[in-house]
Amino acid sequence: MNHILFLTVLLATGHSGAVTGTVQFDNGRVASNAVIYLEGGAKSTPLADAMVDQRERTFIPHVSVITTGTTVRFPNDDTISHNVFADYNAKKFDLGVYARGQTKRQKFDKTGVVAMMCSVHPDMSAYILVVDTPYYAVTDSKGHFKIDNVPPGTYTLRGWHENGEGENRKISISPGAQLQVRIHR
Amino acid sequence: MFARLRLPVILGAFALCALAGAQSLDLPSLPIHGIYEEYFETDPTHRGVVSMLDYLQLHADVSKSWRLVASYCQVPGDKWLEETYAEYDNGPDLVRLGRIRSDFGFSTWSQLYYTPMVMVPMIRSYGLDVVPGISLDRLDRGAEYETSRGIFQLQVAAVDSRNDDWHVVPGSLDTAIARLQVSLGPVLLGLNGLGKASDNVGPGEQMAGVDLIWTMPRLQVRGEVIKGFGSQGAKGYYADVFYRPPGLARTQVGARAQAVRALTQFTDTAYASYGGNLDEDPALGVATSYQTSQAYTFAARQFLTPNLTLSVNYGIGNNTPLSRPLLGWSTQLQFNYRF
Repeated sequence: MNHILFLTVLLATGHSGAVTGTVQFDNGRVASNAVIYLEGGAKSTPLADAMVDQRERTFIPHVSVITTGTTVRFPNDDTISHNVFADYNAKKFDLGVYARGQTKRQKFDKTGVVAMMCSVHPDMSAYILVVDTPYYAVTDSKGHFKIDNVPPGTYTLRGWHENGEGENRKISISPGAQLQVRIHR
Repeated sequence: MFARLRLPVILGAFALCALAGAQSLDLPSLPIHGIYEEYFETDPTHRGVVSMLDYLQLHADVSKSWRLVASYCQVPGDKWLEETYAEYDNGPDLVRLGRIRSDFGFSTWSQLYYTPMVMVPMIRSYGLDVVPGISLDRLDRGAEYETSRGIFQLQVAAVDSRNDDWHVVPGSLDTAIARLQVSLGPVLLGLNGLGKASDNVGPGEQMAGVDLIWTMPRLQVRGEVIKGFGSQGAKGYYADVFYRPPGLARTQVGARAQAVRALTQFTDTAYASYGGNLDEDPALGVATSYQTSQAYTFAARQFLTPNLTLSVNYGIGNNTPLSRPLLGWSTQLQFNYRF
């Protein structure tokens, strides 16, 4: 199915400010767990702490965004053993099978999408988007997002969702700007 | 009265507790979740495709630390209450009270059923008593405590281990089980012990086991060695190798080698669990000599979708009542749905 995402971007304040918006599929449904990020501004630094937990046979969060060079912790807080691996795209790794109470770590040094699975449980999956910008957000259950401290300027707006990736578009963000961006799969 | 708790009563109490928990904590919605699994199989002991196993688990987080779990299982011709317990979890410490699969080696539902193998290992089959009256496919009633400290994980349990399909509350806590697990880099090593006190039915029983998991990228090797003590004790092992080929994230191939030495009476009871009937055919189950069963299984498992998994096995080995169901081709389609 060819999803299309619509984006509304609003710069709320004069200088550095918050960019907010809502992401929707073309059928009007809100797109939760979509990632929106702006490239072309300041470069990112690695996050001090990032974690993908495992509880009740679920990766938590399902979608997360980190900056390049970040090391992510993968604690197993479930009551059973799990595995974490990724076989495609930005990072290939396999943390092996490990028990409750154990934590493994993995560094991500290349931008892109990391699709993770558990080799034991087929219904477990999660995504990490590795970006090289400090301006990013993940949409909430209503499809809303907010990116803080964005200076005015020209950026490349990118959107990603596990069911559809958006087109890339140059946008100029200025005080009071309100943008509607259409993103295709 | 409590010892006669049956499924409707348990599920009703479960729902009431969950509702009460939701209201008292002002949670936004009824916090009951669950998983339903169905296993369709073909194997040498049945004609055609059989719906071999249905499994339903409900769980509710009634507070940050307390959780209620109730589960039910049925196979052709039999049904029983699966794990049904109250769980307290504060991170490093975990307590379970109720009907549990006590930790003795690889005994969790995932370790038994989420593998490329269609059948559970012979030493863990329902019909095989490792010591008289105690198999490893067993649901105990009682209490279990688990604690994690660094590389160590310790589980101790005091339970009623008698075979029982429906009870949640123990009749007597006459069985002690302990497990120590050590995590050493890519290796998980477990030591297990079980002791049952003597009673007016029979003498005390003991069994011990060692298990090991060694994981590398794409590769998992695991195995168990288990021995029942006493003049009627069985012993056995199995070793699994599972491998995920490069570029095939949803595929696993594997192999299992296993052997069991047990009284033929027990192995014939195992045969009965696959469809025979000892009462109708007493010649199947009266021998008391030891018999060794061996089997080697080659397996492939494919995640078709997040909810559908297909496993195909081919087994060779000697022809005993215990190993017979493992010989030749068998397939399994596993459906799971979480809600």
